[in-house]
Amino acid sequence: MFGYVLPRKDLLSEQARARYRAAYCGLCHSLKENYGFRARFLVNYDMTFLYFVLHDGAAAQTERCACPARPFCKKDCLPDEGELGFAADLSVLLSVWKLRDALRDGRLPHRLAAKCALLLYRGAYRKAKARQKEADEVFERQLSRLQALEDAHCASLDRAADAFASLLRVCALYRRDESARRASELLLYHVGRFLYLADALEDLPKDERSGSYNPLRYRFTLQDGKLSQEDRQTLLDTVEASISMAASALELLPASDDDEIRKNIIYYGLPAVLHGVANGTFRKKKRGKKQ
Amino acid sequence: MKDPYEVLGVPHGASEEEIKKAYRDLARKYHPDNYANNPLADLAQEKMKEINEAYDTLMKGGSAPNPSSSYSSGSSGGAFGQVRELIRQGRIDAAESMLDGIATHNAEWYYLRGVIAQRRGWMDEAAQNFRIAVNMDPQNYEYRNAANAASGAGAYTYRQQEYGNSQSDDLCNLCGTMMCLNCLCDCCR
Repeated sequence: MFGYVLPRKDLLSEQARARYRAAYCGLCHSLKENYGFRARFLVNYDMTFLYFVLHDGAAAQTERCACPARPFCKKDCLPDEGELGFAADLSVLLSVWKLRDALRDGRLPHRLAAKCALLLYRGAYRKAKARQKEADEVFERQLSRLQALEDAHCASLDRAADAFASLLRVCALYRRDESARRASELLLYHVGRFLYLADALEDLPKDERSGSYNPLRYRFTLQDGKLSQEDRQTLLDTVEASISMAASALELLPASDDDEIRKNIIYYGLPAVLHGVANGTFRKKKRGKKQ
Repeated sequence: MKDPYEVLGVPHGASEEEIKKAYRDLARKYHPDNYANNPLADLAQEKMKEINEAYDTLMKGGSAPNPSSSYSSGSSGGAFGQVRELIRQGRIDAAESMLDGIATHNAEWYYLRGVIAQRRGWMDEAAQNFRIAVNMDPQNYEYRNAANAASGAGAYTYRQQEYGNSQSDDLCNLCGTMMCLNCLCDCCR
């Protein structure tokens, strides 16, 4: 999980902010209900967004539920009407596949940590796999495709991003209605492409030092380990093209009471994160918040 | 048929002006030009039809201006026409192998290569091909429109909209601090 799919909270109404928080808490609660306490640590913003992509119509009534991070107070959280359970299943699957990926190319301490985490989530993975067989198969197929492309030092941004984007697109299979499914698929594909390329941009200095695969190292000619001004613009343009495609799909989703949140994330959240990553302020801001 | 007021997103009993404004905004959003080369073009077209019907019903026969695409796609017949037809049917792989079989690499050839890439979501490759097509035939509106869309300057541009990164860093830090305080303050809500 990347934590790149975020709303611009300062542009959300008070009510929408509360709903976003309630969805995040709802996902955390759903992870615990379905997979036990440990799974709570897998809660993430990307799958919170998935909830908003999949949930249409009237907003559900929030419930009060206990929060382990704040033991003496209860939080508002959305009840699981199907979408949150699905997002919880997918959170487990994605986390496990991400850990497996880390096993492959991380440094030794990272590999050990990934191995331990995998052991910890073995049971949860088995359960999630049984529930979402099709998604798990697609994850496995696309990640091995991605690994093959990485091993071959693929110089095409599109092809490398395609494997990951196709993986995220499978999250639309929750949709039964064909039009809504197609719109969700296109939306998630381009959000996946955004994630992959934003991640590549952020990791570029690190990958350049360690010599790891990064599509930007092969697509562009780096100058002193950095992208030239022109190449940087080409990259930003192509990622913005994906945000535009995601927006065009968003406008064709069935109406929802949470349209404000959906639109905020695509129209304001993603561009803000992209530009934060590009000028190096994204993580700094996050670290600032944690202190 | 759906409630026309709901389709246009206006309250029952809205004035003619309000209806016209809502219609114009929606028609701009779902205009075929915005969905050129987009795999969801058919869905946008359906939506446009629904909006037109709702407008017609509310305006009692005053028929909606038809915002058809301002260019006609499929400028050429022959092999390129067939490639376009395959793309229209969503048979992208077939379209690609047919295009690969064409020896004339003119502006339209590069344009269609771009369309195929775009239909797959491969925006970098699409932009590169559209750029070649525009260089070869700078007057063509269709190619220029596609090139803009593939480089993030398309219909759903949010460039003009406020990013927030244009604000000064001090302001961002202030926001961050306020958010921290907010988290602490609303612990028990």
